[in-house]
Amino acid sequence: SHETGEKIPRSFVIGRGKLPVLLRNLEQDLRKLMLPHTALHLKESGKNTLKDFVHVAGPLGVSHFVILSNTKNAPYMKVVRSPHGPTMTFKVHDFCLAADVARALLRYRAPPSIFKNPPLVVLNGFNPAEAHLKLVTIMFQNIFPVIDVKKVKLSLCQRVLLLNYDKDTKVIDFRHYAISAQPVGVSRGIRKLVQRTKIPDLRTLNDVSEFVTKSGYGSESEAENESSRVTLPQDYGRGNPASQQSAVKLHEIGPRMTLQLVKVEEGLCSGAVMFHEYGIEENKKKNKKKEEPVDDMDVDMDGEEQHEEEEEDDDADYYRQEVGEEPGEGKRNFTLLRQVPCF
Amino acid sequence: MGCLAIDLAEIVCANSRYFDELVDLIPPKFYLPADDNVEKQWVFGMTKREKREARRLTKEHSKKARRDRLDPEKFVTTLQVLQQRNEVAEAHAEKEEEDEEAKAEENGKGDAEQAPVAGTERVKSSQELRERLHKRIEAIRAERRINKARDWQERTKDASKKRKKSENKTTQANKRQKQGHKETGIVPVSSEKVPVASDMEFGRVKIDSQKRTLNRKSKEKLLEQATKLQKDIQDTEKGKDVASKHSWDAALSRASGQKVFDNPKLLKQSLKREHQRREKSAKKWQDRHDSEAQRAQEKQQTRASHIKERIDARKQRLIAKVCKLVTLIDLTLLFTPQREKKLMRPGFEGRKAGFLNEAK
Repeated sequence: SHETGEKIPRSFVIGRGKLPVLLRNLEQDLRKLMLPHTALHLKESGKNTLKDFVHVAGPLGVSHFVILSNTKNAPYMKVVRSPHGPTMTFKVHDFCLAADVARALLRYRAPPSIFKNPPLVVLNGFNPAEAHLKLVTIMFQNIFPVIDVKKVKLSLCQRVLLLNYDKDTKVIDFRHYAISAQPVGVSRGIRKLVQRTKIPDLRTLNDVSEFVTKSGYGSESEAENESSRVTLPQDYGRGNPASQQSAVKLHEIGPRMTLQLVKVEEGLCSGAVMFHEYGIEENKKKNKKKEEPVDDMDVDMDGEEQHEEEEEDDDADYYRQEVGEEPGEGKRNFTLLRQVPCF
Repeated sequence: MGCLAIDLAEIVCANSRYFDELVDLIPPKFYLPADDNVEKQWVFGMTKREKREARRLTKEHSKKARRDRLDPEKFVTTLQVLQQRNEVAEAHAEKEEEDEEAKAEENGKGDAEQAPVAGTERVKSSQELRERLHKRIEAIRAERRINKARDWQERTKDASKKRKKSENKTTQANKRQKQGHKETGIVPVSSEKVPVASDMEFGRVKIDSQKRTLNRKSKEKLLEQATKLQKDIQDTEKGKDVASKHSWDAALSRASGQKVFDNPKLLKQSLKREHQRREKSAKKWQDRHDSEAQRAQEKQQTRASHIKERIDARKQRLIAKVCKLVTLIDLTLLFTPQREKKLMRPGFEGRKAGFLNEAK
């Protein structure tokens, strides 16, 4: 609870099961994304179950979990609201680490100061008429703290998380950018002089006037869309005073993902399945996701073990659809999976 | 003589040029007197808002002036500023002359019809003046009232009404959110409207403080509701619809941070816990109460015993004192012959002189 009077939502980003190195890096990148209201150096051992995290989350005031896990098919990401909340399971089609982005860009800038404040979040294309999409928007909107419009300092909004939904492919693009503003209408030399702390090197110039006139009126990209120009209501960093025109620029930092919402469950990795991408009617019953070697809940809703034998057929169908193989065929024996002890 | 005149003109021109150049060297701030257009504002008569406005205007004015000063296109020398001011002054003077002439003409017309009307003219004009004065006063009063009303508004009831209105708007916004409409984004402070695609949604924004926890139902009521809900779900006819609707509503409100109490088992547990806590605290209170009574009793006992001891001690002291006194008294005064006789009379059993047989 802070100036808005509402609780700041905190999160844990954890991995379940044995994750390959890339996914561990992705987990670290996601932790950086959720800063400052997350445990950056959370230590998890193999013996920790989800129940432990839930018990610890209560007193610490942690409200959300982001859980990464890996299967033969694809990695999965679950976003969970802590004590009894809904669980959304996303399949990660592709992902890209912050380090990859850094290597790909010519000038990668992610100074540690921008991680001192939570990011803004922008969602596009989520049709609120569809209940599962609405749930996704509300979940992502509430993972980050509320912004008090009157008291917020614009210069503290330095990052943004973009989520774009494509209704044809049903895929969500997940992008993370850093925001910067540049004053508009001044020549490049002056702009750089104002924005940077460095004193320019005038060695090569004959006259001071050359400094102003030599560098043209901005690079080719300057003559870009007018929509990025805004009149700032407050000062934004160096050289962008209030009530002046500035161009807002985004620099990509952080991981990129393409996600697909697969499942929405009522409880914390348990409970009734409210929505399933592959729309199997039988899966509306209480169902565990068999692929993931995840310990779902000693805190079961109403004794799920009783239902297991009944659902064998459905599970087989489901497995077939999901993995694309017959249940018994793969390296792992399907029947064995259910007996694998929790991680 | 002629060449002298020419020389004189030249000399005068040269001198004038020289002085002009000298004047140009001095910045206009120092050379020219302060601009009389900026009236001295009487600060003490202004309200807070006016003062704020005045301050803001002076700030903007000074910023603008600084920018103009440094702007190379707007550069003016001292002489040019002087010329401009002179022109303005001339224009003013001309206008005033015209007005005076116009007035003089009117008066002149009046004068033509002179004699009998002279007195009434003057009276009329004084009446007019009075009327004008009254109008002026009314106008000022009206302005003051408006200003006062506005200030008062800013501080008191109307302000709270406005707050309530804005609260209503935000609750409406919440309702709209639940129905799945667009949510307001981060509102820029300026009045500029940023065009936003209809599909875009942004992070949560707090516009105005709302009332929190309007009506928290008691746990018993929640338990009743939860069990009723469970029963409805069990009911096979409409159970599925009820279940799905409830699960979606619960998921949405849980995702947005509100607590949903729909599990009767957990509610029972919490009720039990509360009951136990209450019992425990009642027991503690009872124990404390009892121990307090006991302690009071003990204290009374010790007090009584101490008092008794004090009394006894006092008595002892008295006896000791009396003994001491008695030792000091001359006891021979007690044994006077009369008394001895009385005590030694035969048959008296109080004192004996000894036995008759006793050898003296």
